[in-house]
Amino acid sequence: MLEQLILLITYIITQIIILKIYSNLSKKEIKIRKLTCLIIITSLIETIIEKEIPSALNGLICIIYFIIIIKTKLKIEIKQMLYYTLVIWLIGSIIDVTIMYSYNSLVKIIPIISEYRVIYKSICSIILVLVLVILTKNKKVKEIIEKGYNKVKEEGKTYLKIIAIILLYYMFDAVSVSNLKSKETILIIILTIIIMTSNLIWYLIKEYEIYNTKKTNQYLIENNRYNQKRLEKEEIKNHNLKNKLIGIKSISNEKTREMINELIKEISKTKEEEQIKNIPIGLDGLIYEHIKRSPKEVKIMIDNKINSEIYKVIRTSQYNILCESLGICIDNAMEASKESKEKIVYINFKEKKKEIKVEIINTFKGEIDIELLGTKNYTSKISGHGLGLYSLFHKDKLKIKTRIKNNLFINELIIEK
Amino acid sequence: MDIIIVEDEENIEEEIKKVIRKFSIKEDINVKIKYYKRYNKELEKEIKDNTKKKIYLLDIELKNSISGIEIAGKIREEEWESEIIFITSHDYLFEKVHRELYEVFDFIEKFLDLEKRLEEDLEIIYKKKHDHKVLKIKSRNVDLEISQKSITHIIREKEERKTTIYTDKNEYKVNKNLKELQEELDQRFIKVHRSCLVNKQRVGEYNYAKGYVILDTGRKVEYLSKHYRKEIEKEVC
Repeated sequence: MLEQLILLITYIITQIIILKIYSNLSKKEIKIRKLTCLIIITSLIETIIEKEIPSALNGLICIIYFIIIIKTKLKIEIKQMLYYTLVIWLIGSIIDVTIMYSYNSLVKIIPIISEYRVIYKSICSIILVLVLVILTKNKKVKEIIEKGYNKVKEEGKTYLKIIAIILLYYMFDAVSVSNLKSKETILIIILTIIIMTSNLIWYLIKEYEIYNTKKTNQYLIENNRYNQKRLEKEEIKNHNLKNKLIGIKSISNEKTREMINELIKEISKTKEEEQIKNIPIGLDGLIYEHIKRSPKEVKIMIDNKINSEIYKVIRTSQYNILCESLGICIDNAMEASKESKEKIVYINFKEKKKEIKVEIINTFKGEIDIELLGTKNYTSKISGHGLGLYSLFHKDKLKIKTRIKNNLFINELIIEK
Repeated sequence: MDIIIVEDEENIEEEIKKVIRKFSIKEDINVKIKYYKRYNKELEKEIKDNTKKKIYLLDIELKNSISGIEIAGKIREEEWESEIIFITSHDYLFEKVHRELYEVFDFIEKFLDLEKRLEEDLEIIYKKKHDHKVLKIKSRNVDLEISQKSITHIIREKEERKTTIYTDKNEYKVNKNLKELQEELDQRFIKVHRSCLVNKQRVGEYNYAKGYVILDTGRKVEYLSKHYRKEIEKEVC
């Protein structure tokens, strides 16, 4: 009875961990509380059938269960999903056969320690994983894997990752009910439970941190949405007003027509407002607010290579950091460029494999002490506090590179994905 | 002379090659043209080969490739001696920023007198020695890069124990002394006073009697010592 209970707890914990891993990898929320019943029922079924059905089939049942959970969350066609599952299962079977073959060979060579087969099975698994890890360090092997991986669609990639993790878990599965009499096996089960529990606690702590950060970020996201709506309303209003004025112009005298032309010029989109199309969604509200507050004489140029919403590209905690840093850099850039002859601010968003880079470049004029730049209380502005750049250089989880190239001041923010 | 063209439109490519052939015949020079439709391993190898000075003609918008701007960035990671000309249709703000950032020689509009502008640029590049020398100073928080031709003079401020580098538009205070800076600068910088170096190419007048130089910007620099007169005259002549 005790062994069955340990097994049940192990299955419950494993499923929760795998769901958490999936949630982190795919950046999709999974509310574990809602799935509690399903997790417990499936774990019960697995515990009961573990006794009757061999572990490979047990694993298959587990995977089918995950397919149901994942399918409801991922936008992936059934055909694709079944295809990927089959591929992974085939690869898994090959690996499993390899492990069993090497384990059996080992047992033949050292027959006297057959009681410890569980430990030797684990050793074989570990050796095989290490071999795989070494192989994937090889450039050619990496290229082949990357080529194949890049052909898979985005949603499919997450699915593949989660299935691969489940497979890895089963490679280390040393739990077998028939061996539960041996003390060593019970020790392994207990150790496994401890490791899994500590992992679960770690994930729960991370989850709590994310929850807290999301809460504090909510005002940023709300503010962004508010400014987006404001911008849309203004665009519609100006568009309608322009049309009305054009209508009135057609029945006006010359003097009135001139006046109307001036009005139309004033309400026509400024170049800066047109640039807003180039801002990644999620940052448009923030940058629009800064552009609206900027001195009229400053010319702003924005280039963007990030094609998706910023929330999908970087983690929530990083979004918070990016908003704060971008705000400081843009304000500094606007103020500094105002004093220069050219008065240009250029913002460039770039996306790389593991990070996003935001370049804020501005023209400037005046004196800079490069040793004091970025230190506390150093400012080139008359009314400045000298804390903006200083706070950026001391921000956690933010990489910033600052350089001056002739008459351009360049701040490069690097945020990890 | 090596000219590297990175352009994905065939008609533009033909037009450029026509101009280059005409130029090479006119100046009677041997020009080697290398053509790429996009950034690939061969182009990467070409960029990394620093043995020869080249002229790069880059289209900014390239299909199935990184942009011309990013290619310019990769070129400048390797060296600053080669010339870069962008074939583009972007506005002047874009030009202004990227001209400084990558020391671009020119931006030529694709569909507006490409032939004429390219011919003029090739002549200027061929006849004039181009100056891309840069002074680089690193501090804890910021990297400073100034093209040497833009530096007018450098003064050691005794009280602050800092050295100020004066350029056309800005001033930079650094912790290095004049001797250390002079080692990093080329021969155009001469000492005219115990506390001052000037860029001789930027000086209009030396007034030894009153102890000042007048720069080509009209600025007066009151650091000229008679002790250095002989050496200055030797350098300037």
